Amino acid sequence: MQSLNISTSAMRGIQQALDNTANNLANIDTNGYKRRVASFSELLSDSMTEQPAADNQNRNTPVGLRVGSGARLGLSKLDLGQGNVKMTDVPTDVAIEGQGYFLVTHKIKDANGAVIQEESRLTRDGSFKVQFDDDEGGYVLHTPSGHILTDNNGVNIVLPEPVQNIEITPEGALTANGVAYGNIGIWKVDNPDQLKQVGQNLFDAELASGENPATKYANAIDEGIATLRQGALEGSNVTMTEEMSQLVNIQRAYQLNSRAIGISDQMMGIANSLRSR
Amino acid sequence: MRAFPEQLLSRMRDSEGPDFPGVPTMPGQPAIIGRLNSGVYMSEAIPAFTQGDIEETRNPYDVALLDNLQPDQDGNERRLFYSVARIEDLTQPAQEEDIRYTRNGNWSVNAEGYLVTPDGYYVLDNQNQAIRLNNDPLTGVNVGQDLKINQAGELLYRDSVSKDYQVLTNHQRLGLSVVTDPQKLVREGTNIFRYEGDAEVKAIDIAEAEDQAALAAGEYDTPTVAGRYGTQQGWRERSNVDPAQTMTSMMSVLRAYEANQRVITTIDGTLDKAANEIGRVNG
Repeated sequence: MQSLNISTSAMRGIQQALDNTANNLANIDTNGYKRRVASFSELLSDSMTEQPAADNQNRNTPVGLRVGSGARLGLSKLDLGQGNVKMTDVPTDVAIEGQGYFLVTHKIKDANGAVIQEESRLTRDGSFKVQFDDDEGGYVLHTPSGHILTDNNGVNIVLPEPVQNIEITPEGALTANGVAYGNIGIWKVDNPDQLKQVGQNLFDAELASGENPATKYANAIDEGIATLRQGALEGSNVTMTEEMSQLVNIQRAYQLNSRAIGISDQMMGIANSLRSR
Repeated sequence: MRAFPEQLLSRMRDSEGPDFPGVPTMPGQPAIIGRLNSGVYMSEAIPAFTQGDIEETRNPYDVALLDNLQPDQDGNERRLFYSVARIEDLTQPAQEEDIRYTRNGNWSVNAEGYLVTPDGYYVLDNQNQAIRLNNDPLTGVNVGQDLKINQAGELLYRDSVSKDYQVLTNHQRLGLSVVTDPQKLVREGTNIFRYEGDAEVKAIDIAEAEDQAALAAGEYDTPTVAGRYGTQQGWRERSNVDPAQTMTSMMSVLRAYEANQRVITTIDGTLDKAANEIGRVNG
């Protein structure tokens, strides 16, 4: 009764696909969230070769009977499509149109307040707040997770005072009251599937403390693949209809597999009732 | 399903002998009754290589393969597959015996920048080389997300200087293979097939050139390969399992199983009669 194991493996995979869809739906309103698409992969296949010698003639397929052993969740890929851009008119909200990520940093300190290491993260979430930062001795642009926005050299952008009238050009140049404060860095990642998701809308940039991101990533604005839009936020790229139809698919696939288990069970019942009179 | 090899049944020590017309009856010879199979076994599970539905994913590394190749002149079915392989030395083309075939176009790029299937097989180009999209030491090109694959399976990247799309210099086209008689493919699991037939697996450009030549020679009127296939980037091919058909075949299998159980129960019933009822003295 392989079929019990086969269907069970498929149901486990489908359950994981459902988890994936549930996570997409849960983040439908998360800024800069990129949905993941689950795909299945076939498991190994058994080849049974103990067949009568006479069987070697008149076959359509090579010798042996090949029976698969189920399916598993093979891959869950990031869908990097652009999310909806929603206008907020908040001057420190920035949406990336096109490819690329903001680089944000955060200093990790020990109990005495000494900096142990600086972690650098990539994010698409451009909802920044101007806040005072003790380490920098000035005002910085904070993400909701407390990371600081960096410029196109990977250095934190620091404003001397809590300025009003911040202006950001589509090319990333940040000015306040006519004074330039550097360019916001947007970094192109060649293979975002390999980025490690660390929660809070962030990806691990895998840079050493103080390492210039230009050594690892190309500047997306220079490459002409990204522009910035001030006063807007990028929403998630999850679409309700797509996820709901995926949900229907998943449920029916689950049902079909549970019916297969039901039928295997009935067949075992039949075998059990061979001698029941 | 296939029957077990047939057995010839005959009646031994027959008092009458076989009755062949025109032959004198000789008692004591076995009388031939007929043929009987002693059961059935499953001989082969024939894969159906019909096109599955395609589904949009908008991912640059998802490529659905669409084909409608006509049978060759001997009437053999032909199907198009991607060539993939596990390669030890990635600077060399894949060995002929290592090449496997798949219809799964749901790929990703691994940490070294190679295009791979979900199970880690390298996707091959038309020179049987593993396709390297990022950090290629030969060209220094990082294709990243800007990969374009056109209908013919040609690989294009966006040049960062001229800002337009160009064919990759060392991986020009996906390795598409025409497999004649795909039922001779052996399923290795994880969506991968190995070819064990006698026919030659042809690269698509060779098959297409042969098709054009035959067409020019007037062997047939309409092309059988050219223009009958295409790759569709941003889409993936789903399985071709039909749930309704699967459900009904499961039901019919169940009933066939049940019918055989009834036969056993019936025979058990007759044996019961023979053992317990015949010759019983007190009713």
